[in-house]
Amino acid sequence: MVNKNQWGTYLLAQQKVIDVDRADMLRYEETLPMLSTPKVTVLVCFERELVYLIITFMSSAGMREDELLELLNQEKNDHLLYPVFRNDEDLCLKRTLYNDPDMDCEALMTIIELGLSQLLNGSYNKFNELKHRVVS
Amino acid sequence: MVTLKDFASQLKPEERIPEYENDPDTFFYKELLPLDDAGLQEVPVLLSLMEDGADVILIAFGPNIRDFPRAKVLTLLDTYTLRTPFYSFFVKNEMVFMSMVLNNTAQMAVDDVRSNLQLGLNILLGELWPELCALVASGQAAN
Repeated sequence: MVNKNQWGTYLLAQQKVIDVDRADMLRYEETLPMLSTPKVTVLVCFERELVYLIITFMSSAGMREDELLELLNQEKNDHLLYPVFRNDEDLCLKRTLYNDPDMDCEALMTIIELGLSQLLNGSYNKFNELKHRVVS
Repeated sequence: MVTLKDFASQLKPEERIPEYENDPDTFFYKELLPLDDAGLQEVPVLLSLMEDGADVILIAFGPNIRDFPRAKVLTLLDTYTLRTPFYSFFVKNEMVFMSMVLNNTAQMAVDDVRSNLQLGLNILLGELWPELCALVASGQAAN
């Protein structure tokens, strides 16, 4: 089981940049140099027996609504473990976990890294292409 | 920790779909949800485990949206995906699907998995679907 204080200490030891620190949640930045917008934010929220992860990776501003909705739907089809959705204009991945007694900071980070690898392995590029298509 | 074998062994005969129980990694069964008129609604569910058994994945088959405006459907499903922690809602083959992923903790039991799924189905069939029907009806009235 991980609590917010342990998680904060772990992130600092990993030299992660924490940008929001509230009672039950921490948000920090991950840098993924291979992306065109290399900074994504990871929100980890601790609430009773649950841990919520939300990775915000891009703004959907400027994307065509019909194409965006179809891509969000397709990504939900393809990636059941880390569904993609829109929160206001932000595009995010989520995962909810039971904060089980075996959970530690390393295990939590591994689960975040799996979500980040979904982004690196294609999800990010698909949305980026939509954005680029409108701009061009 | 839940295994497919545990799960299958706790199903009632009327919930089983025997022709789909031979696959070692995945199987179908039926959730039987009570209706207001005391009848039962059958919802087919596909259950699978990640290879290492760390996650339980369930996909429930929901209503058909063939005659609904697609953008409204997709927007609402996305809103519900944002709102509900364990669930994701999407369209495939003109049907609404709900997926649920649970980490298969040492304490996890078959009843926990099913009660979580039933909560999700109550959201899908008791909230999302009526909201979608109302949205479509109001659109038709406006036209």
